[in-house]
Amino acid sequence: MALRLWASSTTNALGISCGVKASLSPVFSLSRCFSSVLDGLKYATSHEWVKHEGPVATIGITDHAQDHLGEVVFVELPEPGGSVSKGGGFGAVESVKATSDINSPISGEVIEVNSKLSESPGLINSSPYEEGWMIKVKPKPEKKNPVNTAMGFVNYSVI
Amino acid sequence: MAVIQAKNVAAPLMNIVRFKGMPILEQLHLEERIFRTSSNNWCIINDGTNAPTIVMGVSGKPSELLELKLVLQDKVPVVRRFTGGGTVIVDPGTIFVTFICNKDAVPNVELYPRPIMSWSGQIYEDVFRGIGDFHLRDNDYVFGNRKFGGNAQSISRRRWIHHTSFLWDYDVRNMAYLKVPKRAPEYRSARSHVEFVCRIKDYLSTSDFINRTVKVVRNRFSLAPMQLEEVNIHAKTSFDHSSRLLTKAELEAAFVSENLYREGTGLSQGQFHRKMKDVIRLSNRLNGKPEKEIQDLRRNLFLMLFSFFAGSTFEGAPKEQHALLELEDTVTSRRKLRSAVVVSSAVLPARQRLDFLGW
Repeated sequence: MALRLWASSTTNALGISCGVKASLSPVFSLSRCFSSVLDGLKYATSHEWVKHEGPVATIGITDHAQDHLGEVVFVELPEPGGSVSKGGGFGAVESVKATSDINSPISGEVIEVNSKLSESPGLINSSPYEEGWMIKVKPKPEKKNPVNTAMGFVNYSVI
Repeated sequence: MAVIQAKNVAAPLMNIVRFKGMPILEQLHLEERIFRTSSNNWCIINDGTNAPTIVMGVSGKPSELLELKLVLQDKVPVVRRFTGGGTVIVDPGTIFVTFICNKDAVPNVELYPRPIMSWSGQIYEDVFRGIGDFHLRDNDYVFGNRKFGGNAQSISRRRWIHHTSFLWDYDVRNMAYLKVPKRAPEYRSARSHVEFVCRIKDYLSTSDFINRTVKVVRNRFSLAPMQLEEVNIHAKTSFDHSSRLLTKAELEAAFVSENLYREGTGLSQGQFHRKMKDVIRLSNRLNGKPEKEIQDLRRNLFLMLFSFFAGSTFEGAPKEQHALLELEDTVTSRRKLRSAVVVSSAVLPARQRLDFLGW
């Protein structure tokens, strides 16, 4: 009982979606309640992810974010060649009567934009970490390694 | 009394501004400026706007949402606002209520559409308690199954705006300007506008509705009445708005494209849209619209099929026509224009073509 109360208060505090109200007696069954969080990505508190592959960083929004936004019907993204700033907005998604800002976890230059999202904005819902990627950025070198200032995988689960 | 005062001392502060008959575009500009540059909480109430105006959401497409021939014929202004949501036609019988809140002011409300919508539903449940069969239904405010209030939001990292247009009264004739939207809530059940909506005036006077709303908000916030002139103390005086009036050229282009598609042009969709975008650019230039350079990332547009504006809601929102007014080589432009005239000649008489092109 105490474990169930702790689990439900934890999910509320973490802002993590929990689609199933399961019996939570065994500790390992908690994993069934959380949105997917992938290893190897870095996460921002505003629920964007960044994946570094060599000189290119790919940015999108998390499964938690797309689930809470609802069906995405429109995506606004920047043009390649522009710049993004860490913590600054670079676009917006529209869902369920609302436009929601998307913020960049890192600074850099936009080198590619996912053009599929103009015709298929729902890719953000169906595949937030793969086909629903939003922009690719050439990270700006900083004194402090920008990768380390975004949260790691483990930390995302406890924001 | 001491208990009530103690409660209000603990309640977050909210500035409240009230207008009557403010033009909707001016209201939207004010709201976006406050949303993006103020750090206070706000409630804005506008009792009626000055003239009938169509207001579309940020991604609204005129050809899909509006009866363009009628809109152009009657010269009804069309505004695209910075928030999401659907299309409404507002007039002096519309009452607007807007909440702009920091997330800290309402800490139990997550910065997502549904929690904010639910919070607003609770506010208006209290407002209409004992008045009618009020519900929040599929993001609309309804009495029974008839809508009287439409909502829209914009959400940033730390703040949100939720604004509502309430049908205190409306002119049935104005509904003729709006198509039944393709994307509609299930409970609408394909009803026409007139069968789908209802009027608050059948339940409450304007003053009763506004007073009840203010009373409910006062129970949750410590209200500080403010005049319009004082707003500039709390928000930047100059701001790059994204809400704007669509131009006649844009509406005409949407009308032409809608009809040309029906007629069949033999062009691919991409070819056709490229030609129409060029026509819009040149039409605006011929009409003396100022050309502006693209200055930074935030002034770029996400060009979609006849979403002439794809307004940004992030700080420093761009002027929509920047992308449409990119400078082009004159010879190439004129060649494309000639092609567009050939395309449009399939359905438009010569005089209308020239009018449309601004000659």
